[in-house]
Amino acid sequence: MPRYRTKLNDKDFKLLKKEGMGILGESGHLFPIFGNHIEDFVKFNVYGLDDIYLKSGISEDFENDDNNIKLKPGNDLRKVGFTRGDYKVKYFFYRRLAGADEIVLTKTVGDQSGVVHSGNPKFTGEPMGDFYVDDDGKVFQGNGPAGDGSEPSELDVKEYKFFIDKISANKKEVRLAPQSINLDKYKDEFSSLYTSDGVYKPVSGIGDFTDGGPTVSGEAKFNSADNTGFKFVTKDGTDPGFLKKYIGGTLEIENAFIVGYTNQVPTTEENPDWSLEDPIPPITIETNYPDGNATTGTPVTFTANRENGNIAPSQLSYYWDFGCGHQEFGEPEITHTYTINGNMNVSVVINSPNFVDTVILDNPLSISYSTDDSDSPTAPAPSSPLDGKIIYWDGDSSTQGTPQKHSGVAVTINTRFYVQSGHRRWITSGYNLGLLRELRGLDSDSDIDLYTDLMNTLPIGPQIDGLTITGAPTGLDEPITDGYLLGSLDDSGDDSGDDSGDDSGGDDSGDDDSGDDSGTQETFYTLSVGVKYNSASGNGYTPVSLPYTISNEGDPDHDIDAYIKIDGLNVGRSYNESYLAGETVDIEIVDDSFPTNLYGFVGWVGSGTSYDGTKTQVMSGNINLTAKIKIPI
Amino acid sequence: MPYTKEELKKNEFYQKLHEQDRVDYQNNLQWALKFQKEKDIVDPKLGIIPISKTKPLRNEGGVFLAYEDPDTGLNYERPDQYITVDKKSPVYYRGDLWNTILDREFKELT
Repeated sequence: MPRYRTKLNDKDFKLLKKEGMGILGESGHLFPIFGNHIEDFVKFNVYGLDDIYLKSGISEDFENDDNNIKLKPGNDLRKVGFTRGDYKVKYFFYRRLAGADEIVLTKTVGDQSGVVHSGNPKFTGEPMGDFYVDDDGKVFQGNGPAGDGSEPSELDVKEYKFFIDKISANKKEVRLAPQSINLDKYKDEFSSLYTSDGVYKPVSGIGDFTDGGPTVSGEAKFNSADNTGFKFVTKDGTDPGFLKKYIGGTLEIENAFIVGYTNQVPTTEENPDWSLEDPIPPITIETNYPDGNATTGTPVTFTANRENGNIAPSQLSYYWDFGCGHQEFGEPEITHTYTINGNMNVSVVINSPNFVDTVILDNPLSISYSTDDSDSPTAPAPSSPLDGKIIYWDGDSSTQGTPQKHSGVAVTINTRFYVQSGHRRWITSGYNLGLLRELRGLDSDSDIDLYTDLMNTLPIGPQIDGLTITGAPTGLDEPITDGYLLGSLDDSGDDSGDDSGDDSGGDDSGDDDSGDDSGTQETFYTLSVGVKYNSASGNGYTPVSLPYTISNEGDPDHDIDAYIKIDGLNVGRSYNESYLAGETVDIEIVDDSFPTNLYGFVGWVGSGTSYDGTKTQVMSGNINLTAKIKIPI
Repeated sequence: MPYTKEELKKNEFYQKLHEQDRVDYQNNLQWALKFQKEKDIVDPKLGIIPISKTKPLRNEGGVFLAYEDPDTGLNYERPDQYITVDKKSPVYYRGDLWNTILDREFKELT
């Protein structure tokens, strides 16, 4: 595709160019199409084959039709004196907006200087005045020297142009200024340069009297209350009205007045099924233990009753709090079995569409351990032949999977447990493992390996960390009664456990003098990934949350969006997750903006520009990444 | 003494010379037209283009050839003596995008 001559650089051209081509000036501020405006002209520059500028001229015999302009370079060259030879000719298509390559003669009248005396009427709009030039080249009013010898009035010779008043230090900005030419047309043209689209103001005023009173020119109104159409009611005969050049422009209405209101009564009809909702009636909680004493392991029924003894309406919502830390939504009558003892403050939050009420059981419910409850302190604590031993997994996941050290996390062959009251307690770090060995006289040779199913018979007890190793009730000599069993993870879980850090430590990294214990203290780091639109220009950074819409005057909006892929999965616009130290994570930023192929990843915050939105992150610490979306420049 | 233009019109030698120049010029034009039908332009971007596909008369270097009517000194009124410019041109996004890409703010001359 040929590169079109433009003042934009290649990158900006690519970014700003729409698909397809168009004829400029069919409507909007460039209206009419080139060649159809009286101020349109074609200028050409002549260069030698070595690109050295030779001469310029105005092409006068180009032909114009709706879609093309026919140029005759031979005629143009000959007109400016080049009758034979090889030349380069560049054509420029201009529309005069202000000023002209003309001379005007100005004079001083009274206290006003710069009054135009003579100039091309096409540009000045004024008739030419008489003048003559003396032998010294000075220009004077009149047809010649006065016969009476009086002093002639000298005229100033000025170009009908504007001049560059100032150039910025970076050579990118210029300030234009008008010359001292006292002519409204000249000044108006200069002002019009400020708004390339032009400004139109309707001709307004009082017109002829009619039966209904005087007509008011320039009066306009919206078509109707729900219509954005805007049109003139009366327009002066000399007023051209809205032209095509104003399409896409801005309409500003000054002195707009509200002249009346129209009451629109909405059409309504009553819903026959609708009725006013009553507030929540007075409700109390009753239990099947009216004396307020119950035991663990025995179902306790709670009922929300109305004052008349009837059960509360089931249409309402009931959120029960049983006082033991357990809450749930339920019906007005609900049953709960306690597993711990204590005085339970039972309450229920009742919601209706418009009301909310909280009802509390009058007196706390006293729960004591049942004599046959294994959790009862009076019941013998469980025990195991392995009590007092340090155990570890044998690493064979082939048939029974991999045990868990806590829910969802697989053990490794370096994970160590201390068996207490028939429970296995995960030792969270190499330091604690060493401390435990010191306290209990357990060397690493006495550690016992268990196969998966055998390890799974031991319920999980509280983990042993630096804060609990000596304290009660999780101290080493306290009975443990509230453990729970965990099954195996499948092979995939096994693999991740083995691969994630156990390879290095052998079977007893817990005793390593370095204190490093990858088997018992696996370090997790947090990965946070976000993606923002960078609305700043240049190298600045002004983050804007996604999705983000940029409106385009007369064109489709730009909807900027992107999402994050973690290990190939779309996780949305932000992501937070913990990873084992050393783990690798594949991150990809995918642009999902409209128009497509315009916006894209331009780098990570804090890093340089990059257009590669993929990244493989090794988790060696907490990682916080923010991707920037912008038009790549 | 140099001849005046009127005298040259009656000068047989000059008229023959002038006619010979006209014939040479016409031959040159005919040769260019024949050449255009048989040769190609090799454009580094567009590849090989038969000259005959190019409406204006061009030489093998792609240079437009402008021949004049020896009698009027003006271009021949022939289709191959025009350069036709299509009025279609790139259309640009405007609005916010325009201002986002182009730094249009005055910074120094404010």
